[in-house]
Amino acid sequence: MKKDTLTLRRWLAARARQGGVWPRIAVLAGSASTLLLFVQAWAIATVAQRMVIDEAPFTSLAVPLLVLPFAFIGRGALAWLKTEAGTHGALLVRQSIRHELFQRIGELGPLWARRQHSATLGNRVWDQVDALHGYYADYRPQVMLCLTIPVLILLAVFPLNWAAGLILLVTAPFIPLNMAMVGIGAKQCQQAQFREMTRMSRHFLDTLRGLPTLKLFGVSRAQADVVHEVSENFRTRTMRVLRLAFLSSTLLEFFSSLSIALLAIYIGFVYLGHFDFGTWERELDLFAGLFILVVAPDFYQPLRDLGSHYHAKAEAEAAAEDLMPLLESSAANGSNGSDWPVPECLGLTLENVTCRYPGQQAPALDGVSVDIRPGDTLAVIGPSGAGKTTLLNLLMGFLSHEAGTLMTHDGTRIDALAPEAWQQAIGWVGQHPAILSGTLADNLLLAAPDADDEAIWQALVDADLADWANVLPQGLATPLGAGGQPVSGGQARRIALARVFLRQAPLILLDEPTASLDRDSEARIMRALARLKPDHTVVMLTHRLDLLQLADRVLVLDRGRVRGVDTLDALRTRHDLCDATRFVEDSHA
Amino acid sequence: MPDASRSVKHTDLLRPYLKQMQPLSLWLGLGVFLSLVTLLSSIGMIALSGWFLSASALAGLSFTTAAAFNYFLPSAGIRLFVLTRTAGRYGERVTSHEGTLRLLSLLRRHIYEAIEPLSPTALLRYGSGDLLTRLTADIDALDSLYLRVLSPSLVALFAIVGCGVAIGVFAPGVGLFAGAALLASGVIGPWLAWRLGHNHTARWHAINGQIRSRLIERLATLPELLLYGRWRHETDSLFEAQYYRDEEERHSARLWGMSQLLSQTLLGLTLTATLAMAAWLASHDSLDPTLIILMGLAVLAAFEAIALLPQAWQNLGRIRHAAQRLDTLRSQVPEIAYPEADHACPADASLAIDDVHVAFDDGTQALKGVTLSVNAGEHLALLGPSGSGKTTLFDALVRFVEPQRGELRLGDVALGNLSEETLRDSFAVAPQDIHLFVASYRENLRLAAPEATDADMTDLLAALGLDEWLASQPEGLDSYPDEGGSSLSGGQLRRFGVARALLSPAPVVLLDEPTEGLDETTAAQVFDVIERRCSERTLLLITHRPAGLERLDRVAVIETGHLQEIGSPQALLAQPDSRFAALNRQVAL
Repeated sequence: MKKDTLTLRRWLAARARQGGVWPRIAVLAGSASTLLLFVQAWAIATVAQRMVIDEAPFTSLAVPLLVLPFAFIGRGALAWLKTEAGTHGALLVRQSIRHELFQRIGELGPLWARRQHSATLGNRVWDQVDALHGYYADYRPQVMLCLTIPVLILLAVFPLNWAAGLILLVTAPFIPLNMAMVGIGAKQCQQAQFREMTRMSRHFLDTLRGLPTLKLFGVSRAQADVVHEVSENFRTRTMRVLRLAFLSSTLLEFFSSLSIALLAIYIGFVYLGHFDFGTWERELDLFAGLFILVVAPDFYQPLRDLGSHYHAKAEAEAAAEDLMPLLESSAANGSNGSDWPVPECLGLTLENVTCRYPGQQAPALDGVSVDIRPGDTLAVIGPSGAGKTTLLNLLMGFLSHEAGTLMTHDGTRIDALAPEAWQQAIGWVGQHPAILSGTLADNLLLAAPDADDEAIWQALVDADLADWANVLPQGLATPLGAGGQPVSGGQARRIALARVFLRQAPLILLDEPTASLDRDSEARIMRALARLKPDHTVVMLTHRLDLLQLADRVLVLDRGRVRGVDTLDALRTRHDLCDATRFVEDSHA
Repeated sequence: MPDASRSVKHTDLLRPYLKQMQPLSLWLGLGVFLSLVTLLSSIGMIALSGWFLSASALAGLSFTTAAAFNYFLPSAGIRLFVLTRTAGRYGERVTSHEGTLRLLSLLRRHIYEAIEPLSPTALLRYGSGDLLTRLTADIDALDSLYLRVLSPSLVALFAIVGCGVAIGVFAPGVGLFAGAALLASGVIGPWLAWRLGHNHTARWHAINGQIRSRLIERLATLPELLLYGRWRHETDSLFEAQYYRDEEERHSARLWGMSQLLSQTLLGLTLTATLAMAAWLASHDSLDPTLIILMGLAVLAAFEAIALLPQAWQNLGRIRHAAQRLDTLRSQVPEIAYPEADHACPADASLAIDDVHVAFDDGTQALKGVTLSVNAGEHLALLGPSGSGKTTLFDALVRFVEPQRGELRLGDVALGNLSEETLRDSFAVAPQDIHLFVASYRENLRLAAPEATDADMTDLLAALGLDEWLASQPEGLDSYPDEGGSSLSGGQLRRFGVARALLSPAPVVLLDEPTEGLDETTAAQVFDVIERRCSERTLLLITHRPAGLERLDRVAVIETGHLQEIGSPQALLAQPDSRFAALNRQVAL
């Protein structure tokens, strides 16, 4: 499961291309800023040279003193450009990854999504993608700047004095080496901190989530000590790592201070005549010495900045580890099927259909043959694990069968159709119908985007919701869902039914339409189903006897196989089903 | 002035967190001090180097002055600064992290203690599921108050003052100017950016929160969206919303860039003016010309401290948001108060529920006047659809919610007259959502019964049909569950929760849907165990499945917040128009 960092890094690098030219602009701006640094150094050194050595009049400083502020303004403008370009680039990368994630989730489908927790999945698509920002906006451009800026500075210093250039080079013990050193140190440090912080946050989160449980068992107050103790243990462990890890960033600090000190002492000694090497056989004036001294701190600055962006990298790698499997997983999408005109009336034939969930040995449906006649209502019963839900998923096009045929009465094979095309023929009422935050109209139009108000009201009447909708404060425009009008379980079920009425699809799939509802809601749903039945082909999973009485035929499933298909009355007399099925008689019917 | 009032509120909001720092003032103070030492060393090093170059270049002009020049003192000073800078950096890192982590431990404890007395039910209803995740992130944000805001601000202030003083020793006017101008250039830009960027950040957070919850909701309803061909449409509209959010991010980046430009401009002007003033003084013989460069480089190096400020300001905004959210949480979620000692002692384990009304903030009426009494030792089932108020009744019994009207009594003592300890000792509860802590299974079970032996635990788990599961765990009871308990299936987790409740010796047992997700045989097995372990205790059992309830003393049917009917299961079954009889009319499989 754990991806090695190399794969993660490669994945992150490959995604950087989506940022377009922006990251390059950021690097260019950062490098150009170094050129303006040379102008600053020139101005400062010139002022000193003229005042200290040349004893020139104050007026001779006019040019450097006028140029100096503009150099600063220029560097500020470039910093601005770098910030904006980095942000633009990172936004583009994030948008493209998110786009891909949305597509992938659509391809992987609801069966896959149901196995994930929706909040976890949401966290991945949303927060984890945002966590990549710092890496693309700051870290990656900074890595490039760690090469360009020192090179530019060396190019400026060497012609002035080779010994000074050499000091920079030697104390840097070669930029790549130093970078690796800072990298390792910062990495250890950031990773340790990141890991410990995450663990500590998780523990705290676990405690908060379990607070009701702690309370129920009367230990919630004592837990405050545990929270403190765990936190203190984390501290001891983290500090043990940090004390070592800080050494390497201290080393960089030491080298950068040392090189400046060496430069200052070397140049001073050249001036005093103690040293006479490194000057290309020319006189080293105050100007050149000060120029070198002013630019020297910036030789190390990009490396120090890189260290401060290191957490962005750790964060991005953690996020990549979470995102990669999602984007890599091969989606079985045969969505290249053909389109078809949705018929008004639909019959279906299943012949020897076998289905299996990925990663499971036993088939969920095992050689199922059944004829679903147009206009009929077929009830499906069976113990849990019999394959009822699988049958529904198959009919909804969320699952493909591995053997057998599934075709309509006019001879269209379902697997030859694009899932979207097939799904146009389906209306569905699940056990937990979706109520989206949006208006009542939005919620109904979900199933039929082009329906007009008249059709909506008719569907509400059919689903026995009209009296409820009539007293809503804003009628069809009343907001539902989070923060809106509360919707009870029975109302949600009837909203799903209204969607089905509105959709006018020929095949209706119902999953325990009256399960866990109160008496009144149940009666309303029964009435609505009676209205729905005549014009549609209905497949319904149920255990309730009142619903079975609506069915023309009943399909009995057991461990993925068909035990029988017949009318309810005929099934009651079948002795071979007695072991599997027991009907609780309606005592007053 | 609106500004003044806001800033007052601002400090009020953060005061409790500042107070938390008091016991750690030694660590934190040392951190600031060492950080200051580091910074002053780097300013001192570069300024001294600049002066050393100027002075030695001047001395080097003639052989006699060169020979007389005392280079020992300045070069020793430079070397000393190298050491203090390096050692200071390391010490600062270690002490400030040590202090921060200690602070974090205190902070977590403090916040836990503040949240612990709040009503858990209200806490979970307030905001959706990710409230706790956000809370954890908020604590992490508050933790950075010292490291990211307080410490850099203090250090910058002291460094600016130090720099002004160092220059002022030689030229008081220039020193005063440099200090004041540095302060202005460090504060104005970030402050403006923060002022202007405030709205953008707030809007970004608002839009982000909206999209996030919308996304999670949409992911939860993926089946409908895919089936009705609306996923693409949904992702398109999420993308559009994201575009607006990203636009805010771009605005913030632009402001941040502009503030960098402003800061650099002001720094450029400060430096130019300082150099010009020093040069003018030097050209009028009131200042040693070698000091010009010392002053210039000191200003330039002090900017390192100022560069830390913008980030600090940005973080302050984030921290304030976090503090505000914690504050709102505490003011909006009711606290549940318990008497220190029992006002009376419960006579037995009987329960009386008297006209109890519970309504939630969003206007839903969960219980609308339920009256019910349960004798000591009686076994009663609460049957009803989801959302009927059964769980709320449990919550009222364990005082997770307070009824608006009515009273609950245990052994004839109102629950409000019992101390929390007595209340918790009286009830053994298996809630609907079983929380497993990231601790061994043994520790998870011991929450309920600290004295329980391994044999007690394994026997009970085996009786509940969890023996196979336990055998498959690598280290038996010592194994750890995955986060959120996903290493157990839904049905297993349910039974683990039941085991935990049954281990507790409390006289009243409350079980919420103990057989949910179990097949008929296992459910019967679980019922057997429950019956056996509760033979001397009062049992209340919530379920929405009518099967298997014949063995209980009484069944109460609850729908839409009302008690519909109550009686022995046999008596209810005998009345054909009873709700219980109607729910039993189904195919048993």
